[in-house]
Amino acid sequence: MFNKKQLGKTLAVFLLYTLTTLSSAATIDGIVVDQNGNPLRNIQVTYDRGSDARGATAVTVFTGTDGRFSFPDDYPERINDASDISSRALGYIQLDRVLDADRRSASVTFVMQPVTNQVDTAPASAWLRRIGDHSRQAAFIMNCIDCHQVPASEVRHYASLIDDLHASNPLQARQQSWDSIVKYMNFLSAWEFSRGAREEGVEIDTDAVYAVENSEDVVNLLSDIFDDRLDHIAGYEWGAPIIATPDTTIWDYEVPEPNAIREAVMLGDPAMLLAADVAANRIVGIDVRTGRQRNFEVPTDYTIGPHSLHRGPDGSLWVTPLFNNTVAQLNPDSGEWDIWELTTSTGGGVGIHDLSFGFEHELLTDENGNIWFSDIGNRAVGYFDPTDGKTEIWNTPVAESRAADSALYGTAAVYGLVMTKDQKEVWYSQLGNGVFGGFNVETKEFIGPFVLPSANAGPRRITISDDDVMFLALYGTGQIAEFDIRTREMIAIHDLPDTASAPYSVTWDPVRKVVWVPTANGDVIYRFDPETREYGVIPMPREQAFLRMIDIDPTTGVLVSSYANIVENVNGPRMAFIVDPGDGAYPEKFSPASASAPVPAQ
Amino acid sequence: MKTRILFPLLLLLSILPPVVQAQDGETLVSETMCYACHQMAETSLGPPWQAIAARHAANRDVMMDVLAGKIIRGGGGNWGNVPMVPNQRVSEDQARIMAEWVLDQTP
Repeated sequence: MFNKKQLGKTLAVFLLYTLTTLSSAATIDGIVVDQNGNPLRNIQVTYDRGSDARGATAVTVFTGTDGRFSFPDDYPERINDASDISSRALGYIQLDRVLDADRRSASVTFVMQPVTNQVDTAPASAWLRRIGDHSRQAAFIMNCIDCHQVPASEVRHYASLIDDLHASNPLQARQQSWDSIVKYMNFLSAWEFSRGAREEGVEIDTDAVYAVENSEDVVNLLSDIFDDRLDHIAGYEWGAPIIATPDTTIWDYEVPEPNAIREAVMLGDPAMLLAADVAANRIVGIDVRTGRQRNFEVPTDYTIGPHSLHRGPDGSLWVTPLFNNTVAQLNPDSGEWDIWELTTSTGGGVGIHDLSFGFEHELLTDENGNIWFSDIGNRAVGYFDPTDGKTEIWNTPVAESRAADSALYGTAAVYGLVMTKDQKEVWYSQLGNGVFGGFNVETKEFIGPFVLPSANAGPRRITISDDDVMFLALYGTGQIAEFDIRTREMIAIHDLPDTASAPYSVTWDPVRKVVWVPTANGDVIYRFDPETREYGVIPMPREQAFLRMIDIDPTTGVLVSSYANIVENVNGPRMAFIVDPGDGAYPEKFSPASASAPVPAQ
Repeated sequence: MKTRILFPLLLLLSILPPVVQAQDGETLVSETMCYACHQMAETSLGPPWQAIAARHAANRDVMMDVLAGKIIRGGGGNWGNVPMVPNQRVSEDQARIMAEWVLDQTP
């Protein structure tokens, strides 16, 4: 027989078991088949939980060869017919969904059908095949896809509005309409990039900032290639094997509007996604387990507009803005900031874009602890000493063959920056004129410059391997340049599977020994293996997935990045996200539930 | 090519204000970039607001809904060969407030 104490214990255990059982979260799995019941592989299944969900806003998994999928997390909310769970794949439509759920589990069967018209699933880049000429395509990308995808859904919708005019002279109507759009976009761009600089009654200078300079060429191209309703496209392929497997997961975390999200990384305990909001004075922190948002306001009496983010080797976050003289360092656990306002030895300002990344994609200083930066404003590289703020810059040499392209700040903007493993050289890219080069931080001498084949190559962000091989994202030409810093020789320039995908950046993965390539116009992340020279692709679950720089969590190997459509009026997601490729390459497996310590009371 | 950056102007990025969620017509019209294409009294990429208000003065109530729909979905045919751009981020309520403000701008 039980005594009272034993009975109490038994009841307590029973109650705990009952409560645990009743409150247990639901699992979701299922299968995707075609109309004949055959399993379909490589299909995305997305559970969009909504922006108020505890944890990720949306989670995406992929089917395997048996058509089966399984979500890795449990969900506290009740899964039922109203739950937004859907399937998606290039060239398919979802015909039917059958959901069988109880409190603890949900099983979902999707029926999908292949369709000729890929209009709902092909990326914007697919439409640019119409251009045909690679150099014309590169010029167009450099002009228009700096800020938004083309043709995004709004652009395609506008093409249908032009068609609806039934104008007597369709070509003239198209030219007039696309000319208006270019002027309109110049206005939006000038508005976006002059926030705070405007005074009431002062007209926006639409030629001032990121304006399409040769608008006639752009208008003619738009009139040539977008000459129909843009409601039908066929035959697009990713161009590389899909490397997503049933173990691949993508977690999206929505950032509440208004926001102007740029880069994102994951740091802290509890683990947080930290996203730069260039339109405000904050880093948005999102607890990956709870989804709870915590803003880290930069404690300056002016708005720095955080842009680029760099993980520090001590777990801190280094923040640089565009075009002003500030560098900030955040301790994400304590919320404490250190701020440097830099002035060069000659009394000038600096326009910092990036700090120098090492091969582990975190901030790497020189041997003296000096922090090196690319200076987009002065077309320079430079450093500051964090102990006393001493700052020096050196203007980059002009490549003679690109002198005409280098006359303006914008067309020779010193953009990306990496540091060699021995901490003796920094290497930079120049966005806009197809030039890159190096700088010896001891002798203070430049190396190069080196000229890429196309002035419209880009290049945007760059990365460096543990063997000091530098990779450059050639945004305009849709390629990756592979350059051996030690021999000063170009190893190869590799076409991406889709050269209109606009690779925004490249990130060396020091464990997998591959390069990750997020795209701004292709809705995919490519994986490039320099040894085999082969690509793989992870399709992203969202249209208009204007991707930024990828960071790699050094413990779990998950990819961290953001959807960052720039112009506020452009639709498209503005989110931070985490991708687990599911390849088990890193010793620890990521899970939102275990990525963090218990959430402290607020 | 090319994109151009004027460095001094971009230095002014250091005072970026937060976006405001306004609900009055004049502010909404400003914040949703209507001035990219429309001015009060002069033709720019689109017709002037005074001309729109004058044309639809007799059918103001009906045209309020029509204009609100056009603000969101865009469209063309009334003022020449160039369709208006859609503004899909504008809500129906906001579009009605903006349409009412436009129709108030009679010369």
